[in-house]
Amino acid sequence: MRVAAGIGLVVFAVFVAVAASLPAQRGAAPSASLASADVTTRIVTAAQRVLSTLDEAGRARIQFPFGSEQKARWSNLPSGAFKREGVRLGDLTPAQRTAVMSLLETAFSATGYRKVTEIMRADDVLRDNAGRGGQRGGGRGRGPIPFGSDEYFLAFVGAPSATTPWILQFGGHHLAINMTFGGTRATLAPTLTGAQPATYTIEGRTVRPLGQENDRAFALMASLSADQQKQATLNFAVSDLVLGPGQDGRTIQPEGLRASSLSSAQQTMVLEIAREWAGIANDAYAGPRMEEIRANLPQTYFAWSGPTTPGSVAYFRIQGPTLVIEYAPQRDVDHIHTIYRDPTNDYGAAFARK
Amino acid sequence: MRANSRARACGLLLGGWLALAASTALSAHRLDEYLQAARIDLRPASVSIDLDLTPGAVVAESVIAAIDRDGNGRLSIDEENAYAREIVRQLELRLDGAPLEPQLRSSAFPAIDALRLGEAAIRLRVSASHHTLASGEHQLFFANGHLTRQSVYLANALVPATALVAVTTQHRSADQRELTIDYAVGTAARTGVTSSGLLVGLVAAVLIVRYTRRQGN
Repeated sequence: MRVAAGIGLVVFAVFVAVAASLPAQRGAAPSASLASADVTTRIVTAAQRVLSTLDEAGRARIQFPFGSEQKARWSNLPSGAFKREGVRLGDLTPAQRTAVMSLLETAFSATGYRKVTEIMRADDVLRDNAGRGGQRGGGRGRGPIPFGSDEYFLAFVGAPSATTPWILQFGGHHLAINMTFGGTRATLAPTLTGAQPATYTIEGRTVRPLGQENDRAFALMASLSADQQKQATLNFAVSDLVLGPGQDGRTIQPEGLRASSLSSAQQTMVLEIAREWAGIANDAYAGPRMEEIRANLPQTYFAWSGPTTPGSVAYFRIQGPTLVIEYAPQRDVDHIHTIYRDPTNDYGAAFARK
Repeated sequence: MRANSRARACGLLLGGWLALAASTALSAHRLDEYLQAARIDLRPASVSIDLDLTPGAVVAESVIAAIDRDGNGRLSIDEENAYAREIVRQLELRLDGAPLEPQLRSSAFPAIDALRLGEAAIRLRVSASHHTLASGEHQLFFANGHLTRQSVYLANALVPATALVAVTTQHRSADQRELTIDYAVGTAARTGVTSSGLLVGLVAAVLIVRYTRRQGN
């Protein structure tokens, strides 16, 4: 009798232990591929090329110890309103600046690099509009807040390496890329993107740096049934990012519509929205990351605040076990803030654990 | 006295618009609003609230004036503490319908110039202790009554740090000034052990005990 009860308890304990281990297994990243090893090597080479173009003072400015406070020193704000560290693009020689942009081109996907440079160009437009007496913008000489693509900074937190962790930190107004490498793996979390203006014209071409994020989300919302829309809708105003700069280590309670209740096509739409952020990274890293997001889709939520008519001011959030995305218009559609986080792997925390 | 108040009010207005002029580049940023973001952590015997307050450039001067009580243009530690305590007094917390008394645990104020730019945040940590809650459903009501006419709000429950607490639903007012959180205490919901997993384990254990008894008989 006692033996039987003991066996029963042991079986129960085994079930509990197995069940408790499931979330961790679901959140595990796929193993790194040979392709990502090659890409990491190329990125490290490009980073070392940047270092080689700098003098001793420049190298001192760009390099920070891994684990220093620098990793959390980022913002959506323009320089002047927020003091950034690292090397400023506007202070670099053409050769140095070319080396920096080449590094970014290697680290990011083609669409990611385009998105980043379009955000920077938006800041040029913001400055130039102000210079012409527009409603927005400032620019050097008009006040304490300088704007434009010269005002973006690059820093390395940790020494660029194919084996030990380091962070490629690139940011300025409406941009904070924190790309952490851990051997052959890399994460972009946390990364902030934004745009103001969110739509502008260059050489006759209309540019919307965050247009796909916006349009895909409106399309997903339009695809939902009335009941699904009701579940997704937050019936209160969300006027800014909840987990923006300064909110490291916090995870808010998920809300909205659970992706497990979506059709296959709608789930694909959620993934394509997430890809707009995850896909900023080189494809070698974005691929495994998207697989992880896909694996966690049943526990992922989509939430919406605002009108559903395209072109409206609307906030949305996608949140899963390893993902938080927020898209927050700042009172109008021409000024957007977004954040991309991984509660389990901001700044590559998971790389250090494994 | 009235003339002084009027002059002070004009000064604040002028200061606000000077700040606006100085930061035309931020014109689409939240200039004329005071963003107050609350993130609430629930424990079995306490509630912690992180409150981030970011006055926009236009309203920053009026906030600075509210802090700088002697009007000397500098924010002393005493003035900052007094302002932080004033904010805490304007918070309302109720647990299962009974009022809780929030206490200021810490505060961090940015430099006055950063406040004037309209993007720096005042950060407060507030908490309220209560008796250890019995297992079951509970409800926390939170309301922020600080400078309601010029403020916008965010209010969110954090995923609880302890597995003993699980948030079930959140209800907010349209402006997020008020947040009601329904939560459960004493469940295993967040240990990663699913209720179905527990059920399967229990059923298996019972079946094995019965099977072994029969074998014994």
